[in-house]
This record gives sequence, structure tokens and C-alpha cells, in this order.
Amino acid sequence: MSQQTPGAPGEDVHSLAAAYALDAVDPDERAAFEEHLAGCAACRTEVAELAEATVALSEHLSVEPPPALRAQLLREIATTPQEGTPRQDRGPRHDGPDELGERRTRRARRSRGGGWLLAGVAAATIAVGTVAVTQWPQDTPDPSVVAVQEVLDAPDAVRTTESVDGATVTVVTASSLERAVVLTEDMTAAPSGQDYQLWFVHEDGTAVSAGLMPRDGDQVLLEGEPAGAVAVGITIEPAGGSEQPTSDPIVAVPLEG
Amino acid sequence: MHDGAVAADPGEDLSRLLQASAQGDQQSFAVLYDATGARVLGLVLRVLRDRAQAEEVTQEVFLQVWRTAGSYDPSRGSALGWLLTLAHRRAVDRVRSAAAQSRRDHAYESQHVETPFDITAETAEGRMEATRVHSALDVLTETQRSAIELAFFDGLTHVEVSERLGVPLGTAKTRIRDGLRRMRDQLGGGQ
Repeated sequence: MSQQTPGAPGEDVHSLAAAYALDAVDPDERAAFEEHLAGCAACRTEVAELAEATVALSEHLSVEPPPALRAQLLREIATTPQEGTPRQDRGPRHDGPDELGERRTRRARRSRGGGWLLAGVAAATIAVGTVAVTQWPQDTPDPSVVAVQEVLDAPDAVRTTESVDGATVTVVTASSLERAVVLTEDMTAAPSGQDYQLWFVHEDGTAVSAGLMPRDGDQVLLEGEPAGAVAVGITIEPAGGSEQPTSDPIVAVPLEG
Repeated sequence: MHDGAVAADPGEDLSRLLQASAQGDQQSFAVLYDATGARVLGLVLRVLRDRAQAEEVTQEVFLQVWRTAGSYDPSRGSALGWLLTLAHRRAVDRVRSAAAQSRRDHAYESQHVETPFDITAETAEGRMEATRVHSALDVLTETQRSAIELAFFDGLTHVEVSERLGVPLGTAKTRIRDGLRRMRDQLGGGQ
């Protein structure tokens, strides 16, 4: 393309407002104009008005996205930190335009066993619930608390713990009772509109739902029997849970023997 | 379980949804997506002309919306305007990087050609006929319209618009500026 003097729009810098509002500027012009914008209220107003006018240009262009896109997106945001919201001081910031791709690559690198991360964690997931955590009532009693205690007290109870970036997830299995319990510590609440779902993961990578983590509790008796499972996994699912995992697990705790 | 069902009420206040999303409210974000996803995909697809890429960019757009919703300032424009501006910027960035890649790939065979697709104003006009349902553009002169369409829908810079139309840069800039201002004034006059 034509050579121009980079970053030097000259005295008619104001005239770039329209081209800028249409994204019809090259990166150098964009940077220079944004610098100008910071100190020019008139241009800020004009850009805002002109940008508003471009809304009408796409009025008749709607194309319905496939449902899979929606599902994927809602999974992604569950593990995507927001700018300007309180964050626990951990994990990298995700600001770059290629963040999604990078994260996919990173996840792919860390995945094994049909997508289950044994002892792995998406660090951001833990931080994301910080806003929602105070929105949930803490007064619902946990109906399974007694059964949980039975498993914990069983003479053959076996514990396996995984650390999840500050939180810990412990699975306690009691073969004599054919039941298992999950205990969490320092784990933030599931994001609003979603639940932590527990899964018995089998050697071939299949997952069988073991129920939901209670929103107001840090322990739960798993539904079903642990026999045959090689790990207990946790995923974030739409409220109420899913038939099968629809997102990558935030942690999988291997089971003994 | 799924109370607060995801239904896009046309009267739903996008601005409020966007602000709730900024607070980490995923349900509001889902409603916002349901209300605007088709609009974003349509715009991005129009610029990219490739369904797979358009869907990818649409997802990137909404992830960016989720991340940066806190920077939306209702006093400075509509939520839809904010969202579509963001979508358009990303689509244009993508189409330009694809164009740059394609230029690099074919550098050896197109060294002597400034623009591989040498489209005159007339053929550009002709190509747009099929999709001319843009009432917003009806207030423009033909020359303003083609300049704005090339910039907005094809992702050309104003320099490229001038080259494509074979007019001086100053003329292209004037057409873009006057055209867009006329559209703005039309909005102000009510429709």
C-alpha cells in the first residue's frame, strides 16, 4: 500500500474523526489520532456521534450464530477474568488479542486423557467467582451432611487431595460404604448461573455425573459409586448441571488403586 | 434450575445488561449475547465474507465484551454502538491481517500490481447492488455511499479507498467525512 508519513497526520488531524469512526485508518494513524483524541473534546464528541451513526449500517445484516458458538462462549467467559473487577492476585492477565488462541493452545498442551486434566487447573476459574460469591445466600442446610460424616469416619476411608491454585479439593472414598465425598477448601463459589459439577472419570475418558457441588457448602456426598472410576473431576456447567461435561475440567483428583 | 430464563426481550436495556456483565453477571451476559449475537455475526460476516472466520471473530468480540464491559460508559453512546464498534474494529483488523498475509504469500506474482482486484467505482457499485437495503445509506450521494461502503464493509483505509476509487486522498476523506456526518444528521432528525 502507499507510503505515508507514519503518525504525522498534520494540521488536519481533526479531519480523521470520520475515517477513525469507520476504522478506515491504518495503525499509525489510529495511534496518532487516539493520542489526539485524549486532548480534544470536540473530536471525542464527533467520533462518538459518528460511531453511533455507523450502527445503522449493519441494521439489515443479522445472521443467527450457531448454538454451539453460544455454548462455547459461555464456557469461555466462565474462565475469563474481567478487567477492572476485583481479582485475586494470581494468574496471568489475559489482555492480548490472541488470548483465546493462546489459551486454547495452553489448554491443549496441558490436556490428556480425553480432555481431563489430572491435577491440572485453569487458574482463572478460581478467581472469576469472587464477585458472585457474596450474592449467594448461606443459609440453606446441606442435607447430605450426615452421610458425609459417615464416609469420613469410615475405617477404610482413603483421602486424595489436589491443590487447585490456592484451593484444595479432597476426595474421600470409603469402599466399605461404596460411597465417596468431595471436600473443598478456599474454593470460590461457582459463577452466577453456573454450578460446579462432579464427575466420576473412567479410564477410557468417559465421565459419569456424580452430582453438583452445593453452592453454600464445601463438602458433598457424591452420587453413585466410585468403583471403577480413576478420578473425580470438576467442571463448571450451566446451573443444574449437564448430562456430559461441556467444559474442560478445572481439576481432576486421581483415585487410589 | 434455569429460572431467569435466557429470553431476549426486545425492550431489554442493553446498556443495563452490559453493565451487569461488567459486574461478572454471566446470566446478563448471556441475555446480551442473545440480543446482539446475530447482529454482530452479520456485521463481521459482511466484512470478512467467510463464515468460519466470522464466527471465530464473533466469539473473540464477545470475549472482549466480557473482559472490557467495565470500560463502557453509557454517557458516551449506546451499548449497541459500543459493541458494534468493537466488532467492526476486530473484523477489520482480521481482514487486513488476512490481506497482508495473502499479499506476502503472493508477493512474487503481484509485485507490479498495487491492488490485486482492480475494481472501479462502477463495479464496486454493482457489487453492492445486491445488498442495497441500507436505508441509512439512502441519504448519501452515490460517491459518498461507495466511499463509505468500501471503508466500512470492505475494511479499506481511506488511503485504499482513494486508490480503489481512483480519486485523490483528500477527495476520499471528504466523501467519507461528509457522508458519515450526513448519516449522523439524519439520525438526529429522526426517522
